[in-house]
Amino acid sequence: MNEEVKAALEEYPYLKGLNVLFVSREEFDAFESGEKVKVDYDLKFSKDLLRKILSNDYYYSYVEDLLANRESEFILTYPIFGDTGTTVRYSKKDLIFGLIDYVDSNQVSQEERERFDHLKSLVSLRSMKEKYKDYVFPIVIDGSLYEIKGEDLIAVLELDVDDFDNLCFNDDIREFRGMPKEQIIYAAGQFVKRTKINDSYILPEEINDRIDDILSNQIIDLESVNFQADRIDEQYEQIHVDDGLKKRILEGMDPNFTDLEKAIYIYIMMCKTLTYDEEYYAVGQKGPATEKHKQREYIEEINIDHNEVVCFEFDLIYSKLLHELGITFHLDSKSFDGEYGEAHADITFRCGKYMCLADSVTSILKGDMYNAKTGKKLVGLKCLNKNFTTQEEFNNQLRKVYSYIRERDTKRRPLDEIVAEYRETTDSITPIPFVERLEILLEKAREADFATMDDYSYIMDLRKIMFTEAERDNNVGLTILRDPNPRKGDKVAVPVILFTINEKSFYDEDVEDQYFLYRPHESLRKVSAVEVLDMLAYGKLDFIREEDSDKIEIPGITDTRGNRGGRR
Amino acid sequence: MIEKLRKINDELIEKNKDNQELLKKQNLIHEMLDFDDLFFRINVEDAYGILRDLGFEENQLKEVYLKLIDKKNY
Repeated sequence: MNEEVKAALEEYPYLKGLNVLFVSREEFDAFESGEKVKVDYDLKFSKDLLRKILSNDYYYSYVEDLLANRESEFILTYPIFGDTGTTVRYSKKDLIFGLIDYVDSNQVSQEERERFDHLKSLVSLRSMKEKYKDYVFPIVIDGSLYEIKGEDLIAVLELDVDDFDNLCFNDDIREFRGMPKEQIIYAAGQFVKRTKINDSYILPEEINDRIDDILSNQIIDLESVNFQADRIDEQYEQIHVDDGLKKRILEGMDPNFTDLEKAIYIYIMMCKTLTYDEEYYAVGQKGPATEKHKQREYIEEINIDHNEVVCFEFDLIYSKLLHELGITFHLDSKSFDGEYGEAHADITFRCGKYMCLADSVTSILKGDMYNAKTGKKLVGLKCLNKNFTTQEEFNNQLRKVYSYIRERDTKRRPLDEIVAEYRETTDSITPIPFVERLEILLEKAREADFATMDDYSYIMDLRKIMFTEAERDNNVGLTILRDPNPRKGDKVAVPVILFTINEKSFYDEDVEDQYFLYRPHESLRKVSAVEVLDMLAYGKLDFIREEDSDKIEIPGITDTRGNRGGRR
Repeated sequence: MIEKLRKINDELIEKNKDNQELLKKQNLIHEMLDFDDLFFRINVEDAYGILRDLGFEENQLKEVYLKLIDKKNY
């Protein structure tokens, strides 16, 4: 230890309690300005610092203690007037990467090599497993406390791709190591987040991939775990919903609907049955005329003939009906103190894996109390999950229930039946050339901004109505991939669409496939097979799931054996 | 746009009320147009057929169809 540092620590002994590596200001500045070892684009180390870690006892013992015993990161600083100066920080894992690069490209002594090997062993998978094998991880999941063995959580992380897939998607498997599988997978993700093992240890790529799979919620959607679990909203207990109103809302609901479909049905029927209070609107939502709405008891006066409501009244009635379905929810008033009746309110609720938002008054004139009555698209009922599949499943159920209600109310025949009859009565249906249909699809893809998941659903639906199933299999492919480095916005990753087009057939060796790539907020771009292969090889594009590379075939790019380069 | 088609269809129903064959066809179109999301549910060839039966010229079909399947109608 430098004498200057020693003196500072004696003068300010509380600094000794900080888990940092103190050096003198002069040494610190020399590290900052000296030669660097560049591990990655944004990961650089002072070469002299790395050398001292292996050669200097003071530096070495700090790092050894850090890696063996502490949860924090490496912090280098200097003492200044009883405080710390500027700091340089690295995660334990990054520090070892720096030492690896240093040792690989510099001559080191035998002792330095042994020290390096020892430090590296402290962040190995073996070390991690040794540390956590007897560890018990306490976690609350949906209101219940669990204490899970570290070795069981690590076992989840060590599952290979096929076993993890099987665990996630095989409905016959309900448990893993004695726990419901969703809960232990969720707990494994929380274990990683809490212990930061992926920053503290150098783990095999397969385990890092598993961690990404779990935390991204894109393989198995666990985002809803603990959502609303600790919320207790009891306002609904204080109100009574008119029996005639309740009957109107609930009658005709298909008893075979899932819980989510029932929640959707109730929302839509409430929007169709109730209307926004025009007096409340006319007075600008303030003044004496609004006072009655601040009393929860006023809800008892709302019925089929007196059906005017405002947002928080709608939400309170909805929450009462959701409670009867056993659905947990939270009423969210936008007033600064959360008081009922003081500001706009909406409701979030959880139904199984779905996290939902219901806002019947996104706009007084164009909200869902208008949309549902006129058969327009609903805008206030949304899925909050980030998982693409979950969102699509939610939207499918929303469309199903909405169509059910609309077709029931209008007493219409099924559309398929009408179209079949129409085809028999007309001579006006003729084949449309493939190229013309393709032009329409690509033109619409160029126009779409892909700002939301609805836009992806839109293009996928257009592809279905433009092309037969055989054509979709053989001539017009659509693959959703992931861009892990989106150019715009603050998202970690965004989905992108890759079209594969071949007028003859993907399996025809004489005609090359054509590729069009669509990224959100950018124009549709024609790309070559080589460009696509490069983007996949260098991580500029990726499959949503790692194992999809073995299962999803991009014609001319990957075959189902995961071999890049395809058939040509 | 679909409202315009409904209006055309209503006029054709009135015009063809003495021609059973044409009336039947227009009535079927009337039933189909009752679905707001019709053009996102039927294939493009059926859609073109409907537009022809409503009296659109061949060179208008694509333009009208593009409007019907515009994202704002989805």
